[in-house]
Amino acid sequence: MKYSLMILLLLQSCIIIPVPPHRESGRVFITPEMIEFIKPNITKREDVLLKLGEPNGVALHEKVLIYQWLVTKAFVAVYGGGGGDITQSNYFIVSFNNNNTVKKMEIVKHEISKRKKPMIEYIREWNNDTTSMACNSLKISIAVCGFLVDNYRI
Amino acid sequence: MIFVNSKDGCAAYFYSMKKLVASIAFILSFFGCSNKLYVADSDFESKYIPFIKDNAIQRDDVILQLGEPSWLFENGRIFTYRLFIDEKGRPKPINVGNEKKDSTLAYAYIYGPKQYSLVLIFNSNNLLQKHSLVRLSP
Repeated sequence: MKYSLMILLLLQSCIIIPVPPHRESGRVFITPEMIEFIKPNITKREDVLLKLGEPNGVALHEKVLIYQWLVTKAFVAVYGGGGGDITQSNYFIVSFNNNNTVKKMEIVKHEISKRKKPMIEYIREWNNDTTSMACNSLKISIAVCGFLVDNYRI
Repeated sequence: MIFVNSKDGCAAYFYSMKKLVASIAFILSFFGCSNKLYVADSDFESKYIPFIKDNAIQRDDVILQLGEPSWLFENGRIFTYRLFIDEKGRPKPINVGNEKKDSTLAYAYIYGPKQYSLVLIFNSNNLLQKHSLVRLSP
């Protein structure tokens, strides 16, 4: 009862005003139009850097560049004065092949650095995603071939 | 506003609320219009870093002028500097403290206002081949 009264009081004393996503501070956003020039297996690391500038993070021995920016999505107004922005981290992650061409890229609109799962783990899984998919399809192909060889004497 | 009866009163109330929300949304929509690629002013280079010229400056001379780069890529073929203009109007490289020795994940969060990223690509003779200047924050 005591807690519900406190929550009720808290709820009454602040208001969340959603605002169109915009930049308050920090790096300028990277929009899909800004990365249209990037073509996997063609565009090189130097072209990405020349167009987008330096990244926030570099991972896996220069194989992955991470650009981060903050998007303000809402404003919290507290009764009696005060308040602040509700922000969300967005990322542009781009990885490279051994010949320095782009391997894959993605704009991620959620936090990738969490207490239970640090950023490096997320990046590793993200980077290996296509590899594991390729491996899985290879495994399936081998299994199918084995089945055909065993059963049909191919 | 005069409410004739409760039904009309409710309708009028919701109508005025709708107008209020629409007005707020209209005003706030202007905030969303500022997302674009900020390429630095054309006179920035000639004013602040006139020594950065393609096919005219060596890698060592860049280091002598600007100090240690914030990031190095492809065995030092690519340099990046994060710059800001100090109160005396001089370009100052920012030490981003990104723990560059950690090749697994190096990160630099902070972006203050009016920062620029200078990207330099050198050829095999350590001569500046091409470069760009991107405004990171307005």
